[in-house]
Amino acid sequence: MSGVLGAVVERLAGGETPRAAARALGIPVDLAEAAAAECERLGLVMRAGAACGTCAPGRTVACAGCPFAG
Amino acid sequence: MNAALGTATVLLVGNPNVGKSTLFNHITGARQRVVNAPGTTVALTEGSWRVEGVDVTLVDLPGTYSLIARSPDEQVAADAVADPRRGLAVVVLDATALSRSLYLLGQVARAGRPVVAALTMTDLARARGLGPDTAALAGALGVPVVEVDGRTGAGTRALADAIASALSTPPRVSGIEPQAADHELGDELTHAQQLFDWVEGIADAALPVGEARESWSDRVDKVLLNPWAGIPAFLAVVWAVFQLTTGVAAPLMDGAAALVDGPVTAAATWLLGTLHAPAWLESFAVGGLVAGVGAVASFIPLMAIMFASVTVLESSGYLARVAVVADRAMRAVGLDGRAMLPLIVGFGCNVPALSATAVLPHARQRLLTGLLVPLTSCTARLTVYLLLAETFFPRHAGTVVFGIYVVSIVLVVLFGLVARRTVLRDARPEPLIIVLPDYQRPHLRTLALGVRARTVSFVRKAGSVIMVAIAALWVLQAIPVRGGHDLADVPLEDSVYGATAMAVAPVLAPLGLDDWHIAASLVSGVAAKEVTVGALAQSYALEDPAGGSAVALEDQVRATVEASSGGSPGAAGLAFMVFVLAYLPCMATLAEQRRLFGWRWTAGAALSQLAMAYLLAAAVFQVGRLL
Repeated sequence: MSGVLGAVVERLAGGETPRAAARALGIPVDLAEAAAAECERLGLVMRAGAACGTCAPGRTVACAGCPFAG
Repeated sequence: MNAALGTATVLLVGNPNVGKSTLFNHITGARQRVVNAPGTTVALTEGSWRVEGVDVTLVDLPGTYSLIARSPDEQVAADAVADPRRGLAVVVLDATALSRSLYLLGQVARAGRPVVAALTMTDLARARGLGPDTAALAGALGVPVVEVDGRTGAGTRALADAIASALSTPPRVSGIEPQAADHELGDELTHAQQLFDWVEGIADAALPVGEARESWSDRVDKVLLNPWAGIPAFLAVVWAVFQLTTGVAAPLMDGAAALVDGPVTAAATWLLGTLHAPAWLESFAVGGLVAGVGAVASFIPLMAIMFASVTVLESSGYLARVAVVADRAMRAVGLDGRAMLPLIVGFGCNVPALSATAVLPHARQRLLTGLLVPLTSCTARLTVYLLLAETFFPRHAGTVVFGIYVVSIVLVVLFGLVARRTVLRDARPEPLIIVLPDYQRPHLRTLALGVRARTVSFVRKAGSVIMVAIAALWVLQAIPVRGGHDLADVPLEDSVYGATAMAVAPVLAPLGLDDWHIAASLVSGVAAKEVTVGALAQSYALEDPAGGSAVALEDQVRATVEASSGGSPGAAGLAFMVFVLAYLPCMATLAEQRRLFGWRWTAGAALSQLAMAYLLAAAVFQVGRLL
């Protein structure tokens, strides 16, 4: 990946928040947040808490007893 | 009316919460009607607006951040923008988050729509020092940009003028070539890269230069995401959680156990006596259900504290950091970092963790992770550790349970390494990229709701799965296999249950656990790990109906292991915990593994795991008894 999108993803991969990535790259915070959100739509990154596919959209029997199922 | 556009329909497009609908309502007033989007149940609002003598139909599209839709609402917006019969689009830009709005504007322009921009929230943006230079923005975009305020109607006349002009001369956004809709991921990614570069250029031209300062969240991350500090910090947090859990919960557990074994048992006995219930029913209800379910129910306060701790870590954003730190550690040993999230879920429950392996793109990675999941210690096993830790190491129970979790992590890494270097040599490790949130202070209400939901979930399982399993065990205890006893009137040792447990028990001698109560609880635990403690309590209760409380259960287990281990109960207790950690997954996990990977991989992995658990637990006991 290249350009500002690639730079943001590289920062996220390094464990930075979109806000920290924006500061490091000198771009608006909402630009970094939009880049992260678009990469999530494209399946390139994951949002925290979206790991278990069975938790969304509704809970299943498999979630009983799982502390990660709200 | 202009012939070039062929229609006076104008689309109102924008991100959620930018004031789009407020603007729409102000412009159209009562001249609105609600229609369903074509082929969907998504409601759209249309309104009429007279612009410079021309009647315009204004369509308020659902708010979206992107035309790559993720919901039916967003799909309606994307379809409307992509429809070549549609004409002009008024894109509502949020001045406080201009870059995000501009990305959507870029997508609309790339779909071939002529564009007029309506800029909202300029007063708020200027108050924050983020206010864009509207003239510079219009110059950079090459289309009209009108400041509007939907609450007061300010700017709507200028917007009407801009629309009237655009209907006769469609304005095109500078720097963006209209394209056909993308269907390939590669195309979408390429176009996204181009659009973000374009947005950065526009933002440079129109936004004031801001000076971002390092936040406290960034400063904390410098420590917690540091490769050398992050893992020790995580281990310290987990240790503290177990210390808190065992320290605070012990008196609460004693209270809950006393409640179940005292008033609840007395009430059940009185009620059955009043109803003149037969002896077998009283045996089933009091010796089976109350003893079995009650033993697990006494863990409810402890689980609530545990769930509260996990919820705090989760909602503060810390658990996501753990995934990032663990990802680096996993990749350092050649494992795929993206496997971290299913494995973390596995510490809650193995079954959804197996489902979560779907996030991994390659079949070999899914298989490897799916085989590792049963080695992550689910919360159901925690009840067994806590009972045993409180029994054999009452002064260091938290540290012992923490140690078992460390063993779980070590086993996952070791098994992963072995698999990577043997049967799954061709699996290619790739990083996990996770969008970390800033640290947040957990809200008390959210915390309470989360703890309640998780505790209720635990109780429901205790009330359903365990009850069914306990009932099944009671039936097995009522069927005689020797001694010529009648059905439901059989000493435990002559029942199917007792005879099976006694046959298995000698196999556990090298672990210091040659006892039929323990063998029975381990066999029962394969049905569901939650049953293990309940089955143990039930076996003592049926053998000695006058048996005591949960404290007495600890005493009974201690006396049993003292005898079976030849005077080394601590070593045998540790071996018991290690064996429970690793011996066999529960039936639900096995079924899910078989569904995902087939019975050969499932059976092979389960047998390997059983052999490894046996050898490991035997080693723990044999070494431990010498110390």
